[in-house]
Amino acid sequence: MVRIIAFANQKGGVAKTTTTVSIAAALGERGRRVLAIDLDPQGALTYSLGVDPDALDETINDVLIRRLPMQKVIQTREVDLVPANIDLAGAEAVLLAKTGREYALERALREVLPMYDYVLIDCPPSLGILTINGLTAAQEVVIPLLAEALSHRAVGQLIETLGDIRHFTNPDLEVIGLVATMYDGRTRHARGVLADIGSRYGVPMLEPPVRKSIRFAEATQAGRSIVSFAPSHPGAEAYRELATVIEKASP
Amino acid sequence: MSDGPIGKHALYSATERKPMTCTVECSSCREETSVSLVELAALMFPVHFHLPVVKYHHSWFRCPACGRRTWLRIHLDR
Repeated sequence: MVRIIAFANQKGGVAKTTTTVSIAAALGERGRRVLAIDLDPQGALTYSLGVDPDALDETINDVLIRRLPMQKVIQTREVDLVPANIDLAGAEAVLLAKTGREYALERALREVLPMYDYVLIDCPPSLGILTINGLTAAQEVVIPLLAEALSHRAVGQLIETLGDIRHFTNPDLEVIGLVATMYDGRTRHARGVLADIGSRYGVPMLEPPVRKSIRFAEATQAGRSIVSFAPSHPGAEAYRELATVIEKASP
Repeated sequence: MSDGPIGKHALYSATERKPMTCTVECSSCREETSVSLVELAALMFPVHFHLPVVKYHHSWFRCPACGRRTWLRIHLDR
């Protein structure tokens, strides 16, 4: 049975894409069939898997707007990828005029679901219609966050949005948990935020937190995940452990 | 002034829906149109077919968007 997991946080720069690509690669490494979907017009996930977003003719935008079959845009990399580029920015405006706009991704996904064990969706850093599509298509959500004071506000707003999603489009959506990224355990502030934020919103904090490292940026530049780029790096190990936690959290 | 949903709820088309409505998806014009059950009955008059399981667009009747008699899919609004 396929699991569809969205990685969402409307706050930018919290390592949503790094978390998506690393978990996808860690699952792929253990033989799972994984599809990663880029829902961000910035195309960061696409770039992270070694595809130049600006060189693409057909992307997720064509799937959502022109109803191009999803199979036609899938690219095979470390894991299978549905790419995005800046064209997707226009999809927000087009979708907003349509009835059933929340279900565009869910509908497009149906035909490819039998081919995969996991579908991971990298949501954009906003609470717009693309994020709503990601959360409507998903069964579960993982929330990457930084261990800093502003994260409280972002997580609070996202939890509220998840309530709206359950009410309007996807009553079965479940939160797997929070993933702390770019964590610096040496600071009392980071430790305090981490200890407080999960209990405040009643959401599990997934272990372990992922420490900050330049190796993540180097992996992105090489168009690979940290899991294949630096397999024995603590960051790769952390994401393998998180992939195990996510697998065990099966609903 | 619009009396539609405002603020963040404007993102959800579900808030535009009225009770006892459904969405009709057309295989020809690709439009999705929200119709009441009475309007749906009128679109199906005088003849319509249903082939559930066999086809994704499982019902044959008149599309409210393009006016053609063609295959459509009915989604009951959640």
